[in-house]
Amino acid sequence: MDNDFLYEENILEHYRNPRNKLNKACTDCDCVGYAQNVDCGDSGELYLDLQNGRIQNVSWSGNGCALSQAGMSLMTEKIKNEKLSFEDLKLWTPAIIYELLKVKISPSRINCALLAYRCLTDNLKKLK
Amino acid sequence: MDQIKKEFQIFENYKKENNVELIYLDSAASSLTPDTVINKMNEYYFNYRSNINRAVSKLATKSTLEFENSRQLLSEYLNCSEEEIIWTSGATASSNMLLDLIALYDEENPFLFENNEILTTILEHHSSLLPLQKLARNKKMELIFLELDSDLNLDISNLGNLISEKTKIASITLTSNVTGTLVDIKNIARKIKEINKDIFVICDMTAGFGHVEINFQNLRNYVDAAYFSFHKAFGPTGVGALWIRREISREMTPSILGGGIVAKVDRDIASFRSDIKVFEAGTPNIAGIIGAGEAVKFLRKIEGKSFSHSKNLVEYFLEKVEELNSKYINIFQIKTFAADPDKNSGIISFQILLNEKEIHPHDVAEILSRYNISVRAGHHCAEPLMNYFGIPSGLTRISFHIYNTENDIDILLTGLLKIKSVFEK
Repeated sequence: MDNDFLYEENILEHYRNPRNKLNKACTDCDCVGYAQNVDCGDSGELYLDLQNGRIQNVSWSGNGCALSQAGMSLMTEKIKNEKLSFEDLKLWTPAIIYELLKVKISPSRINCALLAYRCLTDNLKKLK
Repeated sequence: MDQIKKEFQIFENYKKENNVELIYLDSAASSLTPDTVINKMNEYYFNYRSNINRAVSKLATKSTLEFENSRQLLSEYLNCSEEEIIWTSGATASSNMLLDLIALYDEENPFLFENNEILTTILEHHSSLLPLQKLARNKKMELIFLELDSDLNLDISNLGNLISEKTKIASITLTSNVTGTLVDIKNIARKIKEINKDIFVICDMTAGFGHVEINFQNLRNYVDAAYFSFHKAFGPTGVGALWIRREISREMTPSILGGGIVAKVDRDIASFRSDIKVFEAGTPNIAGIIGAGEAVKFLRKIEGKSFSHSKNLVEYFLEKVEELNSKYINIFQIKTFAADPDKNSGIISFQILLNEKEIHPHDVAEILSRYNISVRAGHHCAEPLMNYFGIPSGLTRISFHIYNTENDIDILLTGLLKIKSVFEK
């Protein structure tokens, strides 16, 4: 009954204190990736700045459930901490996000969990 | 009501599997199915599995009789002719078929013209609205909406100004699947016909069927067609019905063509049979429709009790929420979107606010599911209504049926307080 594993401190903490989140849309970054879950209103924008193929800066803005917003925070933290390149990001799969969230995702929450990944996919498409 | 619960084996099975009671508050998405309906469908598969209508075997005779018995049971329940019941795969299929039939009729007898109008409501489900949008787009017609008053009822004060000789179709839901609002369809449809008797009036009865009495004898002077699904009224998934006044359907050409509907077929052309089955091409969901007949028997059994039962639960929930809100005001608040219990079909949608910030309905539903409580979260296929309310993230919805109890609501409230504690940490 108390097994609220989806709402582990990891996710709630990122939801309450999101990393790299901007309060408003970024207007001067190199690339904006956008994703939305139309059935529940989750939305995110992922802002990337690049220099010589490496990610110079990453930030995001958005609204939605704890899972989608924690996903944005965790993903941007990883990109920033690991100083990843554009080529590294191209190799990413949804598994990376699941790994970051560290919780079992039910089929009805996949769209929430992968909001960040879909933003990134949009960035990669635009940067191709 | 515990006696009624015993008629739904799923409750016992869930308890065996999970060692805890199932709290099912999602009947507006899909009701549970009583054992009698499941057994009836199994009987078909175990004892007389065969196609209907054309075969002459004993099996086929039995299945045809059982299949047609469902049509008879439903027509008696709705007080209409058997020749007015078209079996479909659900409300969505019914709605799409109906508007295709209207479009086909228009091809042969033009009556829909550019700048004509379709009147509908802000309460519509997407299954009603999207086919209307398609017809409006194809015919370059305009959609006009009835909005709500402050009590979440349809505001018909302006009806006279919204309808004119340009209005060709009016499609009005019987019930909102978000707020539970029951629409006085007879009154509104009568007013519409009084202003312009030529308007084709459609009623989506999906969220009301099984909760309120539907009597087509009383409606047929004002409503021309209506539809619903059985999976929200104790029947199986994949079965619905489309009712069209026989005087009208007689003039219509079928939109779905195939086996079982023809009088004669040549290489280049076919002519069709003249009864209602002309709209049921192909092998239907035989087991499901036989099960739907059994669901009608269950509906008969709870007739007159269903609405008052749900009404009592709506009142109980609203009272409890008021208590909680007064206790936690400004910290934790449940903001309800429910019509007056006297005009509510057992549906309440709500928002949870913690320190004035909304907890996303998906988070609410996910945590409640840990408590074995089934609710719905999101737009409920009624996005225009969510936008009207200004809630892009959607709402959490609970919905009651005959098997729900006050205890279900008590457990739900415990779950809602748990949400508070999760997000307050």
